Amino acid sequence: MEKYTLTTRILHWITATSVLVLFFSGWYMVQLDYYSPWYTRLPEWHIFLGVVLIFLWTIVIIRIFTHPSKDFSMSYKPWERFLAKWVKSLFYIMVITMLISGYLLTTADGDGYLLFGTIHLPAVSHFSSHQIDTLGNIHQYTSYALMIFVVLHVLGTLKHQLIDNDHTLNRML
Amino acid sequence: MQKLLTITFFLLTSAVGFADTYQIDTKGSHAFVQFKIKHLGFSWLYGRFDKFDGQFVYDEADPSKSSIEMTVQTGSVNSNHTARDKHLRSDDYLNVDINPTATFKSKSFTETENGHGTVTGDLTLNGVTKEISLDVAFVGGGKDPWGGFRRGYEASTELTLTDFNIKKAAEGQTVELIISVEGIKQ
Ligand code: HEM
Ligand code: HEM
Repeated sequence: MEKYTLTTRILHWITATSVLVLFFSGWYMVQLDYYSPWYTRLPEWHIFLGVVLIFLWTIVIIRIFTHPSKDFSMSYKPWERFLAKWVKSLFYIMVITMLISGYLLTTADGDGYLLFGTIHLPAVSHFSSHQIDTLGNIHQYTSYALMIFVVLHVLGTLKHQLIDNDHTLNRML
Repeated sequence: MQKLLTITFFLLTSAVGFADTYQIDTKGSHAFVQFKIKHLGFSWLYGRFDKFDGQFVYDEADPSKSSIEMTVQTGSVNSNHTARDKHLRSDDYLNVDINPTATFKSKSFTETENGHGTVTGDLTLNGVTKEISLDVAFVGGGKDPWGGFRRGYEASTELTLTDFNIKKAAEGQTVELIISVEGIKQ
C-alpha cells in the first residue's frame, strides 16, 4: 500500500491536533470564570498555538501547489470523490478563515499584541467595535462549522476503514 | 451703563422664569456618561459610553417641574481595552445585540440649595427597568461666549449589577455611574 509522504503525514497530524486543541481551548476559555488562574493564561496559549498554526498552514497551502499528494481517490465512487474533494477544499478555507479572524481579533486595537510579554504580533489594522464583534462572530461560528466538517471527515475515514476496508486511514498513518 | 442694563434685563427675565429645554451638548462633547467599578477590590476601573444623547428641562420658577431624558448606545462602551470592551458588549454583560440602548427618564426632581438636588426616574438597562435616584450637583450656568445659554450638572449614583440581570456580575457587585452634562438652551 502506498502512503502519503512522511511530510504530508506529519503535517496532517500536527495540524489536525492543533485545530482540535484550538477549538476546545477556545470554547473553554471564553466560559472561564474571571477568578480562574486560567482566565489570562489559556487565551495566551490559544493565541500562541494559533500563530504556530498560521505558519504550519502556510506550509500546507504552499505544498498543495508544490507537492500535490497522489490522488488516491480513483478507487472511490464518484459521489465519494466529489464529497471528499469539497470537504477537503472547505477544510482549507475554513481553517484560513479561523486563522485570519483570530489574528485580527487579537490585534484589533491597532497596537499589536505582546505574546508572553516578549513576542510582538504586529497589528494589521485598527477595527471599530462593530467590526470586532463581526470578527468574533465569524471566529465563533466558523469554528462550529469546522467541527461539523471534522466529524464528517472522521466518519468518512471510519467508513472507509471499517466498512470498505480500503486502507484510507493507513495511508495517512 | 449698557452692561448694567443687560444684567438687569437678564436677572428680570430669569426671575420671571420659563421651563427651558436644554439639548445636551454631545456634538461639542461637553457631556460624559462614565462609570467606575472596583477591580479585584484593589483599584478603580473607569470607563465611559461614547455615544448618547438627551435633553433636560429646567424650570427656574418651579425647579420641581424640571426633567431629563437620556438614551445611551450601550455598544459604545469604552474602557480603553479592546478585548475587555468586546467582552462587555457580549451577553455576559451588556448584551448590546439585544439591548442596544439604555435609557433614563426622570419622574421627579427635588432641588435643595444652590441648584443641587436629587433626580428620580426609570433606568432601563439590559432590558430591565428599575427606579433609581441620582444625586445632582449643579456646576454652573450662564451665557457662553458664542451667543448661547448653557447649564451644567453632574449626577451620580450607585447601581447593583445583578438588579439589571448582568450575567457575569458577582452577587452584590456595584458600579458607580457619573453623568456630566452641559445643556444648550434651545
Ligand atoms: C482528528 C481526526 C482526523 C482524522 C482521523 C483524519 C484522517 C484523515 C485521513 C485518513 C486522510 C486521508 C484521506 C484520503 O486519503 O483522501 C485525511 C486527509 C486530510 N485531512 Fe484529516 N483527519 C482528521 C482531522 C483532520 C483535521 C482536524 C483536519 C483539518 C485541519 C484535517 C485535514 C485533512 C486534509 C486537508 C486532508 C487531505 C490531505 C491531502 O489532500 O493531501 N484532518 N485525514
Ligand atoms: C483553526 C484555528 C482556530 C480555532 C478552531 C479556534 C477556535 C476558537 C473558539 C471556539 C473560540 C471561542 C469563540 C467564542 O465562543 O466566542 C476562540 C476564541 C478566540 N480565538 Fe481562536 N481559534 C483558532 C485560531 C485562532 C488564532 C490563529 C488566533 C489568534 C492568533 C485566535 C484567537 C482567538 C481569540 C483572541 C479568541 C477570543 C475571542 C473573544 O474574545 O471572544 N484563534 N477561538
